[in-house]
Amino acid sequence: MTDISVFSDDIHQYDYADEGPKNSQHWWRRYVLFLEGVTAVFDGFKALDIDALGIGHNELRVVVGPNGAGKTTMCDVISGLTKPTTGRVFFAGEEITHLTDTQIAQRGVGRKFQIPNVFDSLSVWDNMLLALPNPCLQIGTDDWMTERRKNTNANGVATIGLIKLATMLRYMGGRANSENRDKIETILKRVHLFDQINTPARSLSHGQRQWLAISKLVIAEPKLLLVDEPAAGLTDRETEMTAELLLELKGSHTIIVIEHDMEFVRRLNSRVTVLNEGKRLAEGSLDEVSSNEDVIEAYLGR
Amino acid sequence: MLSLCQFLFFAIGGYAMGLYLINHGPHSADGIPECLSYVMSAVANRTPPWFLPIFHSFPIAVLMGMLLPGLLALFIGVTTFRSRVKGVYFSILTQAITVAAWLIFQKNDLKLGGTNGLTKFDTILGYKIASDASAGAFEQTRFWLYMASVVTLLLVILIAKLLTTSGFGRVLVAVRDDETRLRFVGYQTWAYKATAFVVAAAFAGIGGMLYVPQKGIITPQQIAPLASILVVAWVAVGGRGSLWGAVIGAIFVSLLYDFMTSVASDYWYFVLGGLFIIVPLFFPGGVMSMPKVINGFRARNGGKGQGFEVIPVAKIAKGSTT
Repeated sequence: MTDISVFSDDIHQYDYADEGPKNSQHWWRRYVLFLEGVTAVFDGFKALDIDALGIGHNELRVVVGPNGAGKTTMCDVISGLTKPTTGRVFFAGEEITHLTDTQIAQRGVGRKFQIPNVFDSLSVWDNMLLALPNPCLQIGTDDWMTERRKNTNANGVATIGLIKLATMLRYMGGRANSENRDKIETILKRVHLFDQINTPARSLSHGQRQWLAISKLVIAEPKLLLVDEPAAGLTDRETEMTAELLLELKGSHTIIVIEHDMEFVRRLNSRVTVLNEGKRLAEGSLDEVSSNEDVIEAYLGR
Repeated sequence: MLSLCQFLFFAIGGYAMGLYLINHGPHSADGIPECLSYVMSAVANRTPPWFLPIFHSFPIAVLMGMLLPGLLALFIGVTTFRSRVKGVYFSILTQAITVAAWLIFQKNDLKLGGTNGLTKFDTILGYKIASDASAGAFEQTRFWLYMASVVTLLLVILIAKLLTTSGFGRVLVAVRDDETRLRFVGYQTWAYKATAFVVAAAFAGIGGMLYVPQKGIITPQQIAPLASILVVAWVAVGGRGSLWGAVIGAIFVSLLYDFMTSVASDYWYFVLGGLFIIVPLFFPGGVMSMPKVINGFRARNGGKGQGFEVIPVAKIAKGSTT
């Protein structure tokens, strides 16, 4: 896997879509994620038709668009829930178009769904444990095989397999060692859920569930965070807090936020991509796109 | 996941133990165990099944009694869970497998005694199984078989408890709550589901192995689809998502079955059907939730009973079946 942190300088000014596999030799170094000619067709209806879309390293990108613009379909395609009809998806220097959803998640794509789905019968703490980055999930992947070959001596004694099995059993369902405890505590304190650590997730309010879902996403340390409508159904104060949370992550994480609450988008103050009828309509700062005539027409002209 | 083939695994374990027992039971003149000899015609190729000698040794028979159901469950589990068959489709599939196995085990050609099954047992580990009138209660083999069952039950509950409270159990609960979400954390959920299925099958196999020497016979009737549905009744009555609930449910339903079949056997199926309606309606958590339900009912009516309040069906549908 390619180290994507080599180009950590500010490359956000590029219109990423102008480059891409065809035009640049080292295109993949610039982007954590690149969609190339991706379409998704359901029963003849083209839900998604993106010519090119690149997300840079440590960028916070907001994707907006009217209902049915294909925002969630885009998320589905990236996370592997829907296979694109045509086109290719690249993530961290590797093509992920044909991987399963679990494999894509193991490569480092974390996703929060529109509905904050947490594990209802488990406590907040157990929910966080399950979301921890888990070495046992890597078993069988290329990385793991390389490491295994390195640790297997010339006589071919493969005890490393047994060690790995032991690791797998220890880490299954999340391991509460002191390091992980600290991480979970820090993040739960940040979202004001620390007092409710033993509460089953079903007893939490909607806003708290949203935050728990976001916390789970962050603690998994994914290379890319897909956040689908984090402000849906929240009160104004909760929306404000969610925006603060995302702004804190900005700069150290690569994030795609899907949202149609314009006030929320303005708070995030980031590069915006506008989708309409599955197509990429405009890209730029919020002021740029909101003065774009195509965008005004798509939002108001019907 | 609601499995309707639990008694198939039970019966496979039972047949493994049955094969061991007929190895050490009475044989016909040409050296074939009597229960098999009985269903073989005189002219056809009278040979015992090729796999019979494998079960001659007790440890191997016990191992097979857990391994064979486990392997079958592994095959069913991996193929169905990998292709994301779940919910009612999984139940229907397992029931179809049960019916197929039921029909196969009735064939005489399989040399497992056909519809008569395996019987005519004599000794287990060198001890006579039949009760001995001259010996005391503690010297009966049957008493020790019963004790073995009790100890095994406690052991199995202990293992199940360890499994459910460990990280593995946490993953299983998460699968029940939201499988898709767990897949997006990076867990291959089918592997965890298949493992749980295999463990459950091996436990059922152990149950079958303990059942056969005490009952003295194992027939394809044990595989009949209704038997597996009865298992669901045990769990539903006892309380879903609780280990002791399943035990209490099994004892309660079996006692009810014994009582009904001796008093009014024709009405047993009506009672069973009634249980399936009444329990989910009033006690969605089964017997284990009864104190809670009754307390809640008392609190609502200020101590004066005025009839039950029906718990919303949505809650039942959300209830756990693992």
